[in-house]
Amino acid sequence: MVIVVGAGATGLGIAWDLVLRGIRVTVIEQGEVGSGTSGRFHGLLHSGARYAVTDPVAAEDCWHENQVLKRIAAAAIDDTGGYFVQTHESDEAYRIRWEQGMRQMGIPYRAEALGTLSRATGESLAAFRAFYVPDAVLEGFRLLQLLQQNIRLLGGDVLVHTRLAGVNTHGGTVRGVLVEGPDGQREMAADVLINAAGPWAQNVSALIGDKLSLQLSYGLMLIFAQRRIKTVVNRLREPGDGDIIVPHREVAILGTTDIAVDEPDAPQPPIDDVIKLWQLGKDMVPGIENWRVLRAFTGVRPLYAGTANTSDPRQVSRDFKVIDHKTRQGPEGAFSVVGGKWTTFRLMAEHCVDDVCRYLGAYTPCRTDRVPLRPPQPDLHQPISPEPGDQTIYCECESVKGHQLQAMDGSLDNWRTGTWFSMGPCQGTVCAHRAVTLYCQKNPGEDYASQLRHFRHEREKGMQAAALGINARQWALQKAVRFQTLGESWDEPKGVADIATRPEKDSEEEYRT
Amino acid sequence: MSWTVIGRGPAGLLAASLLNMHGEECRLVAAHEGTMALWSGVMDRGDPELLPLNAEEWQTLWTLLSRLWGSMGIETRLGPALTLSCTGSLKATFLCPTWQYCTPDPGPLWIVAFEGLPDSLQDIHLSAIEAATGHSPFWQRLPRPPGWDDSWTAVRWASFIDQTEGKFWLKTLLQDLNPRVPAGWPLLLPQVIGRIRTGEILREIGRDLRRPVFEYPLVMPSLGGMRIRDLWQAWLRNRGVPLISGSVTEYLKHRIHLDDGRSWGADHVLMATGGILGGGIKVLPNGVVEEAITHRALGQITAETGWGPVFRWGSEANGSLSACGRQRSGWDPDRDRNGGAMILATVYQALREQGLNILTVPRKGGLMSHAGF
Amino acid sequence: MRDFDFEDACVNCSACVSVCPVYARDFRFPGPKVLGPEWWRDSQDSRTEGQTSEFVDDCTFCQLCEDACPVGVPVAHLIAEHKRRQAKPARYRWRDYLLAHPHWIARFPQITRVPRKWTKVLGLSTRTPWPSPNRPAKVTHDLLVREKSMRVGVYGDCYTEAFDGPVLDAVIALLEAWGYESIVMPGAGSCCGAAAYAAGNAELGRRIASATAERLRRANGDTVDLMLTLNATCDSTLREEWPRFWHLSASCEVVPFTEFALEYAPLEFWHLLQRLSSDKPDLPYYVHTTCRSRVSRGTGWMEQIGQRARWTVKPLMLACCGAAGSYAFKAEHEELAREMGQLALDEGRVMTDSGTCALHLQGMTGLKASHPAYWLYKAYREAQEHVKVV
Ligand SMILES: Cc1cc2nc3c(=O)[nH]c(=O)nc-3n(C[C@H](O)[C@H](O)[C@H](O)COP(=O)(O)OP(=O)(O)OC[C@H]3O[C@@H](n4cnc5c(N)ncnc54)[C@H](O)[C@@H]3O)c2cc1C
Ligand SMILES: Cc1cc2nc3c(=O)[nH]c(=O)nc-3n(C[C@H](O)[C@H](O)[C@H](O)COP(=O)(O)OP(=O)(O)OC[C@H]3O[C@@H](n4cnc5c(N)ncnc54)[C@H](O)[C@@H]3O)c2cc1C
Ligand code: SF4
Ligand code: SF4
Repeated sequence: MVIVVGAGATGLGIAWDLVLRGIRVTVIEQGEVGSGTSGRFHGLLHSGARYAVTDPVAAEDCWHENQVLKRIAAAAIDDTGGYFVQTHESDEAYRIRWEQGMRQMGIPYRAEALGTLSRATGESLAAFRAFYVPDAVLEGFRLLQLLQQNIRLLGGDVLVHTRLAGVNTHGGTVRGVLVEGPDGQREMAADVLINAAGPWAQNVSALIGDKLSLQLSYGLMLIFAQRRIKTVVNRLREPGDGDIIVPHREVAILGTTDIAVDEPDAPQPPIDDVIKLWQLGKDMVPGIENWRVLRAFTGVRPLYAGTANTSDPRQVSRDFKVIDHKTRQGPEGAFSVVGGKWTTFRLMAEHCVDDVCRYLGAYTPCRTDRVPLRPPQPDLHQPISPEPGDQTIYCECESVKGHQLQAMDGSLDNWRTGTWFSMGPCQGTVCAHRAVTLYCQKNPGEDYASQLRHFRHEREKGMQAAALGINARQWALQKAVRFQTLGESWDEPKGVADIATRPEKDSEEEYRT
Repeated sequence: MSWTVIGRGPAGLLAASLLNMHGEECRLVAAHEGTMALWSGVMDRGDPELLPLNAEEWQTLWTLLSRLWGSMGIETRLGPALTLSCTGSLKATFLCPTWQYCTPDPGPLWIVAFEGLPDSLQDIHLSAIEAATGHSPFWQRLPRPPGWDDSWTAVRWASFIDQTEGKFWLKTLLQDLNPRVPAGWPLLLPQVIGRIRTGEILREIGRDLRRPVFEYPLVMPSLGGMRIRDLWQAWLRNRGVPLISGSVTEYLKHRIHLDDGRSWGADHVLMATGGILGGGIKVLPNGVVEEAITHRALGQITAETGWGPVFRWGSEANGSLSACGRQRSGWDPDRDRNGGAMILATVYQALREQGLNILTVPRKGGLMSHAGF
Repeated sequence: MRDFDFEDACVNCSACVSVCPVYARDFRFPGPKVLGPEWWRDSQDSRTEGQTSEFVDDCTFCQLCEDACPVGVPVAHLIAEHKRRQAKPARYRWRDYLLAHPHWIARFPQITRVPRKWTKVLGLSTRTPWPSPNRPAKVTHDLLVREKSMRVGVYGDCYTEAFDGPVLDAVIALLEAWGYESIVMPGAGSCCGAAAYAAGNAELGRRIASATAERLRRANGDTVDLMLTLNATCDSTLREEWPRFWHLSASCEVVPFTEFALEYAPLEFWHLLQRLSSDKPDLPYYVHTTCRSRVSRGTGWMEQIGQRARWTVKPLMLACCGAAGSYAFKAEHEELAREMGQLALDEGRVMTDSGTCALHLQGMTGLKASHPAYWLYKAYREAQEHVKVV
């Protein structure tokens, strides 16, 4: 039995590879599937072009995987194509190196006439030169859902809300793990333990008894309410802040930044950085200031610097590494996978599972590059007709109907990422209380008020950091609905509605009594 | 004296009505509808301790509004009371249209939800009502009517119930259930009981079932506010107040300027522009918070300020310009649940700043005989 | 280039739904929010791009939704774009093409006299009253003011020119009486493009409008600073859609006749009417401010006209009477249009600022309905008679 820690792209990729090779696997995940970085990324299926100059290994892997994923996971990929736009003449030297890199790597690209650029991207860009590249959009939650469903179909197990709390390495070999789940602690037998805990990999490796050191950095992303751009747009220059825009379903996402952090948990997006990032976006898309922003969010990169020591996270390779802990004074049967990208998750899994097979002494070839990930039935994303069940629309922005919500399992957050309710322009203003009501009807033990409050706070984190322009009005409306119409309680945990309150006469306390 | 009121939300409508009642020449200009259609019209008072007027003044103001609405055909209940939300929580109010459930002392209730109207009160909320009233309510859900489809919002439900067919659908189902509910328990229906014939239908059902019948409010689009908005605007039009559509960009040297080039003189201006939600206060992409009409910067949002105080930013009097409603600084009805009181108090203050004291005008034969009641 | 501002601003408040006159009556109509901003957002998504609603053409383009929207989403114009992308049933192609060119009908107003059974085949309403040809006659009258102080243009919209001649006569006569020289522009057979645009043919609308803009430019020749409109739809199309969506200019300031009258009619004129009103109190005037003028200018102008003339005025609280340009002439809209205009009025007259609305309301109420200019002129003539007699 193989235990995989972490149900992000890497962990589920590994589990999928294992079940395809006939090896029994259980994935344990402390939160929800995708609650780590894999659910908090930019959504770009890299073509490798971004790393053509700075990181050739990552570039080559990305290009390879880009082609594989378009084949095996088409249902989760929106093949929009992408552009690299050079905004200033001063980036000319970089442009020449970039074209050289692209040719060397064999990544196809072509120059786009400026006259047709705004038609192709749907927006006018500040372009001096532009190139088409085979970038695409990767729908993270969708692909994670596909992986999970296919893993289960072949007998693999994914346990959510189950945290790794200890490892039994009696005699220098992995024998079992101690996990904390909804029903308390228990032990599970294990022949192999794979640490795919993303930014938490150092904590997990500590439990294994061979602590790795990761170089964590977080990135900030800004979601705009509509898909005002039709393709991926990158800025052609040394990778930097705010130089990629990705259309994603019905929104567009601008990113990102790269700021070193110590903790693996995604930090609350700071409003000052949001303002800065938005301004940066103008360099590439001058009209972006008039786009309606929706929310901001952050994700933490599980970069692995190895021995190289650099303080600038952008300098750390986007390459990945499979570590067999046995080779570094750790126990036998323990592996860690660190670094990499979403785009390269399959390749990471392949390398890792190759090593695991060798360790188990039974090598079977990898098949993940050939077996397509098929959506199982029923597919919640495509309404089946004639439509059964409750046709009432609960979430108006994303047109989520009663029967779609009722078909969901797991936590409310799972309902959200599975149906996309509350993800549209009004951010749950009109649907949160409706969905929570359904959720509580389905889960009789749950308390309506605390579920709703928890849900609001989670959503509010991203909304208030981006409550600028029209979105400030959305937030004002949401507050009025919450507190005046629905009578939700005002007392919120500190740090949510009022990060800090300016000293003034009418202090909060006076009103709260 | 010529007056211009900017804004068609509750504050603007009230200000224009009071001016008209006092025989002042007044124009109402607004870029768009205000918030009336977004809430039920129950006027929250919040904590009376916090309000800037004495008890007698308050009583007079509330009575004034209640009579004003009365003259438009909106009956109200005046006095401290509690109302129910669509999630079962209770809220304090002072003035409430009689179509809505509102009582100083909530007792046992019969509550009905409609399938296909996702905002109506659900079984899951009953424990909250029970905790608040001390009685466990009698609750049912009525099946969807024939012809229902997913395009039905509260507005459509109300149009349906305004029709004979819809009213009949509702009455038949309620009559079947009626014997099972203890006598005397009031019946609460979702706020979709007609757009035009509400009072009539509620009375008719009440007669049939021999019990009081009320509505409980829903999330927008909100029929309660729509009814008030439509009657209020009709009242103003009938009294000859022009309701101008246009966006005010500036008030300079006693002239109002609109974005389409129109402009006119005004001696006094009431800015009932609704704060951040209403558009009177803009939060710019760079975090600067600015008043739309005067272009005055009110502050800047940073990680340090946070959002807490921003929703209380606004303005007061500035020469011949006075702010009222949500535009007035210092108020936060989301936190203090005093939206209705805010409207009354700020319109009163703003008019007073501009030289009209609606509480001290000569009273010929009663409080408001001078004003056409 | 983008045509819209704030197309992505929807905060999902449903204020638009709360004012839409069609949504309130037609139970299949999905409403402005779904057809406008929500559709627009979906239309950008590669998964739902190209999907349209079969009900989108049931929107009358009254623009009340857009007027209501607190954040300024161009709701009705997004719906117009939605209509544009909706494939039209072949059955109505000819009719729609014809109705999109009201100025053609205006050039040959006799077409409206075709037998009813033919109109049915064409998909035209058999119950909505059709206008009868009624071209303006040339009339001249006594002047209130001797000197001509200004030259003003009058936008001779296709409907008024072909079917509402007396209104145009009245306007010219009144202007003359008030001391203004008038010139009807741009000449017969022009159209502002509103009908085509409202029916979802934006491109055709733009072409028709461009031709008219060119004619206006030539007709004006820099001699006119002000052009008066007699129809709220043309009025707001010239002032709003022209510059905003078609980048066209009317070559001069455009003002509804009503507002001009309030500002520029001399005091003597009002005194005359007031005298008549106080000596011979007359029937009340029911005022219907058409949806389009309510959206672009507001309500209260016609009421003020009535007040100034000391008439009894009663504003009607119809949001949209259902006529909405050529909307009511289409067979599939006939029932709804009749329902929207349903009114029971006592004796009186109806005053409204659009010819098609007047025709529709006249059909619905049985009362004579016309433009304020018509009523002003009528009263003016009567007042002159009255003064002579007294
Ligand atoms: C801002 C940003 C933008 C990015 N954009 C892109 C992009 O556009 N394209 C791209 O290809 N890549 C992108 N990436 C990189 C990519 O998202 C990550 O490399 C990838 O998601 C990492 O996946 P993972 O499975 O290794 O980690 P994670 O997704 O973080 O998964 C680790 C999981 O382990 C769980 N876990 C941790 N500890 C325990 C424990 N003790 N017990 C049980 N479970 C545990 C966590 O809850 C988590 O779910 C981006 C990254 C960031 C930060
Ligand atoms: C969802 C919701 C629920 C509520 N529930 C309750 C409740 O239960 N009880 C209660 O008492 N109160 C309630 N309220 C009312 C709330 O507390 C405020 O009192 C109210 O929204 C403020 O109204 P206002 O008239 O100040 O502004 P608004 O209603 O916002 O009106 C602003 C007006 O100004 C116009 N405007 C803005 N800028 C310009 C410009 N430049 N030019 C021209 N016009 C302009 C706008 O078009 C609009 O017409 C609720 C409000 C909301 C939104
Ligand atoms: S334009 Fe008029 S009919 Fe059309 S959706 Fe808007 S309000 Fe309704
Ligand atoms: S009124 Fe405007 S913001 Fe409100 S739902 Fe309609 S389009 Fe959206």
